[in-house]
Amino acid sequence: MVLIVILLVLAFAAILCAVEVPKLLRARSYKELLAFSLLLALGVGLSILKSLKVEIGNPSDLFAWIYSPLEGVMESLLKKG
Amino acid sequence: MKKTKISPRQLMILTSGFSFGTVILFLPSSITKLAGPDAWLSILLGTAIGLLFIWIFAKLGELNPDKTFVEIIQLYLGKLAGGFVAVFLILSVLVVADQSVWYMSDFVHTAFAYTLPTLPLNVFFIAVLVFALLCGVETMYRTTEMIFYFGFSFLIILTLMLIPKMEPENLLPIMENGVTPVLKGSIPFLFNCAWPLVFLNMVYPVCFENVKEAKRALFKGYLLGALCNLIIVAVCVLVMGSSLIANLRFPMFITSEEVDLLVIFSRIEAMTFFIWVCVSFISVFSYAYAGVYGLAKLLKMKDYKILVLPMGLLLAVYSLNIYTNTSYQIKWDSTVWPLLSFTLGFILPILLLILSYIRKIMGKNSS
Repeated sequence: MVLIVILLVLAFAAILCAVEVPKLLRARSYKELLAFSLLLALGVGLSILKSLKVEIGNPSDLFAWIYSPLEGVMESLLKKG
Repeated sequence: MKKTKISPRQLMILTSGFSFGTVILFLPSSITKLAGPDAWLSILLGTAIGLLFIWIFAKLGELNPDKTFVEIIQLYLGKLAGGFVAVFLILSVLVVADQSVWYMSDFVHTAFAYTLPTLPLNVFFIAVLVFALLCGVETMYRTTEMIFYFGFSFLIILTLMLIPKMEPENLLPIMENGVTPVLKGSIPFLFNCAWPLVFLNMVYPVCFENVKEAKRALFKGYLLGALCNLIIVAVCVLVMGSSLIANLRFPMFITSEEVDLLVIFSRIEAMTFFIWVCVSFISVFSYAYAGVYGLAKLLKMKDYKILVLPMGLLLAVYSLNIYTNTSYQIKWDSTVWPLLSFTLGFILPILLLILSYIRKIMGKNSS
């Protein structure tokens, strides 16, 4: 199952690259190419790590951490009575 | 980038769909938990307060025509601070979009098929989202119109079918514990339905020829969305009673199970689910579009569509554990989301509005 997921993700990335990269190169839009490849690399890397059951963190925790000093205020505000 | 055009009517429908999209399933319980039987009063109060914020968002768009929200942030806060705030905004919008996907799969698992694997389900939903993003705003907003007719007429039909089950005593006593519960009950309405509308500033002034008409459509849409919320909450409380609603996880879903009319019309909760997924798709699209389009604007790219598919992969990966579990979701939604919504929908627009007024006055003086 793990192998299938990894292969599927890699196939998805390969097809996407094959379709999009020549188009971008022809249009000489290197900024787009950089953003696209970084985002895709991030996605592929994270999904492989995820399927290997490595802890990849959670963006919700980031927001919870940012707002943790104000947590008590919100709890008392949204308490009944 | 090619200039996209949306009609004011589509904006109206989009606004209303956005303000009652994902939240209709949870809102009744979070409001009745605080306000008890006065939930409908809380919504009326919340709508009145919310109008002020809609005015702020509309004014912000009017003062900065042909600029999206991310561009406004960068213009007024400078490169460094503006970039930081914009990244924060984009990240939070994408997280919220992903959480809506999580809600959907959680709902399917709780209510219908708990043996269904999560990943394929999420991937299906995200595939539709990616397709919609690739088609662009115009296509999606035309679809929105169609979805809305479904959703709104179903809502009316549901209300009519539930009339025999309604008990007016459930609304009594009115204001038993004074005004405080009503005031508190309007807080969930604000952070769920009014403040997130700031993300519509990604489409609002840019895609319209006539900003004045669009502004009117924004107000109309907000009021329509508030009306839908009011109907849903009132129906839930009338049928089930406030103390029961406050402790249910999916109050609207459970309420629609109560329909039992002429033997034929009963157990229509699957229909409710279908409508909910359709309408919440409007919200998910608006969030995801704000995220991807904002990212493209931040990086000064010509077209956002190149980013859509990699972003879809990221959304699919994180949709599995964006909330670790249900108790985490309840805690996050009641302690973190209100503050996040407050920061982005209250502090940021007011700050930007003040700055744009200062800029306008300075511009007049120098010329």
